[in-house]
Amino acid sequence: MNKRLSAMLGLAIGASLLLSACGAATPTAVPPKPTEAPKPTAVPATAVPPTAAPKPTDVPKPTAVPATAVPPTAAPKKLKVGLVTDVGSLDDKSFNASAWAGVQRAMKDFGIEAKAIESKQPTDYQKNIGQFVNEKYDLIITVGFLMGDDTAKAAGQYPDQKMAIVDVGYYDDKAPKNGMGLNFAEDQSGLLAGTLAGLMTKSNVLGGVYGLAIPPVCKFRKGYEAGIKSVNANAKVFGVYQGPSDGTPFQNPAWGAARAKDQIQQKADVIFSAGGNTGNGGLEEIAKATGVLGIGVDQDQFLTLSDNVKKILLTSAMKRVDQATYLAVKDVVDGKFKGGNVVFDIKNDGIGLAPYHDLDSKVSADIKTKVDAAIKGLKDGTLKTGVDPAADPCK
Amino acid sequence: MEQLIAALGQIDYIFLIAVALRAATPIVFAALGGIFSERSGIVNIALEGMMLTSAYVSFRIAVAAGSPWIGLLGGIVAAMLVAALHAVVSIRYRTNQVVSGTVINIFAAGITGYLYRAFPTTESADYLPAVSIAGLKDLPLVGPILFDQGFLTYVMVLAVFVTWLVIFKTKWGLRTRAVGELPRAADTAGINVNRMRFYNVLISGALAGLGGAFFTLQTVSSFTPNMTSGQGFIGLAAMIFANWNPISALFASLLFTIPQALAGQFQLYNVPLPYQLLSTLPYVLTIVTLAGFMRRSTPPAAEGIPYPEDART
Repeated sequence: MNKRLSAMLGLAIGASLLLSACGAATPTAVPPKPTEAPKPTAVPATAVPPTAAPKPTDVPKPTAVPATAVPPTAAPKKLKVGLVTDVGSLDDKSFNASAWAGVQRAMKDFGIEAKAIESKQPTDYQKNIGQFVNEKYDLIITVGFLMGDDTAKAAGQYPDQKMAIVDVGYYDDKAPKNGMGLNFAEDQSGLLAGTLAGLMTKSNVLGGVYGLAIPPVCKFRKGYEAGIKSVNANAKVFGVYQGPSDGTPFQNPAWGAARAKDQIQQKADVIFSAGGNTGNGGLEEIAKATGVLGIGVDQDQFLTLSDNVKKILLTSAMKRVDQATYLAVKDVVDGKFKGGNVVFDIKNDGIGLAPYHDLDSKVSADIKTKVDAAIKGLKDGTLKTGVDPAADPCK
Repeated sequence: MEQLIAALGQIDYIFLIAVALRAATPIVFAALGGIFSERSGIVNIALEGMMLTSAYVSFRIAVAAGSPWIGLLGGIVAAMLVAALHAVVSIRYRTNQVVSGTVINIFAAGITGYLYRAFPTTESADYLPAVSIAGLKDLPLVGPILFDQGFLTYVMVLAVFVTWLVIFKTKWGLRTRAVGELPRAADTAGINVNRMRFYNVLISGALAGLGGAFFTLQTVSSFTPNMTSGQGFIGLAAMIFANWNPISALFASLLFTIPQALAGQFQLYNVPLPYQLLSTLPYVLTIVTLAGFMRRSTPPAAEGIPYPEDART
């Protein structure tokens, strides 16, 4: 009996380790609360010209982390921006890195002062936010869903402190006016990827390997499938979400690889892999096959993934966290900051497709023209993704 | 219902089992490692950490040396070093083995995660060769399952039979089981209990090393943090489900991976069944087995108890 208990204990500990692991670093796993959908009307930052978009290569080197400030002795009081990371760090090649890159760009463009604190554990969130509050920072940016509760708490506690949080959409009309939720139109990004995929396919079969079915992931998928249908109504489209017990969410590349293999066997020749490291496993499997292309997600993954994947990575469906933090800082600089949810979409360069890189020559001029037309259609509102921002996209 | 039947007709079951066998590879290696360790009386929940260590080290060495074979060797050695740590702490210092294993798992996740970030690379490791046996792989039914797999999957199947032979048909196996069941009797018969246990934990490390290399040298060509994703724990569940028998462990592992593969296929064909639940089925079965509802699971009697029992050190 004892043995059996200790075996159970072992498994229980194992399971708890898994759960804690999945809490740590899930790039796309940051759902806005589905019931409180972002208000698209609150977009305050449409005026930024598209040329302000940073090169994807702007991602900071890890060495650039302690960049405290630009010149220390400027005469007028400088605007101070503080950024608090979740338990991921500034060089995570993902959310935090991207958020910090946007702040750094704002530092250069507006001559503000900025500082970042990396949270080592969730219990540090409040302490780190508090530190910036005490030092009278003008804007505090927190990164990711994990910090949602602590950010909301701080925003309520210090009603004069301007706060912004990436990828959380809990600020409604009744929320304190000092909090800003930075959200993304993942469906538009997916639509562009789908448009490209639908035009590139030769087998007329397309695939998708996705992380957990949570709102940002579902929006990517719905947009992707709508994009395919918009250019290729007869295409066959496959898609698979990672289940909650299919290994650690967003961190099971072997599962992603197996699901990509399923779809390759079904003759899919372009596969959208949107699921953190789970999706990256799908891209690795695609690289083993011949004549199959992959599409990455969130950032320009050509810059971070392995050399094998670079050979088959057509593009990435990006959500530009750097652009969101940049524009949030800009609002403060311009004195236009106001609370509420903001959606970053094609109009303010909050989403978009990454460059084709090595596969540029494989994409015909005709296809490029059609993708550009889709971008234009999204911008002027003639093309829609069919995803209702007020509804749960996973239904 | 009609959708379900239509989908069931569309699924390529041979392919499904081939994919499930591939996915079972690291799970079976972990289960076999668990069998060697636990049959000798040492609880080994550190298999997950050993696999993760091997996944990292085999990737790094394969890239540095330009050879997946040297990488594989490096991964095995690294996992055996971690196993040696677990063995010394459990045997010499008589620490609680579940605690030791847990600490090792956390440590392995931390150190590999740190090294991954401290030394970033985009290089890909070369894969171990896929072994597709011409002629045989075209056999109906078993061809694609048995003769068109990655290298380590063949090693895994071989290891299942070798483990069975060693545990049940050799002097080594008899002694291993003796020190795991009745260490005092084994001691009286002149077997060095703790030495037997030490070597068996090392063997479990070598098997976990093979399982870890599956991730970076056969499945994906790069390392990502926590990429073993709990497969070591699933291996332990399979081991318990299989009643510490290697051949049953192979089938128990398939019992875990087939529903997962099937859940994937159901999603492809839009079967309106909750795919989330299908993947949990094996875990429910494991709990049922553990609780003794289906049949008794009987772990080695001296498992988890340091020897000699009354030593005060």
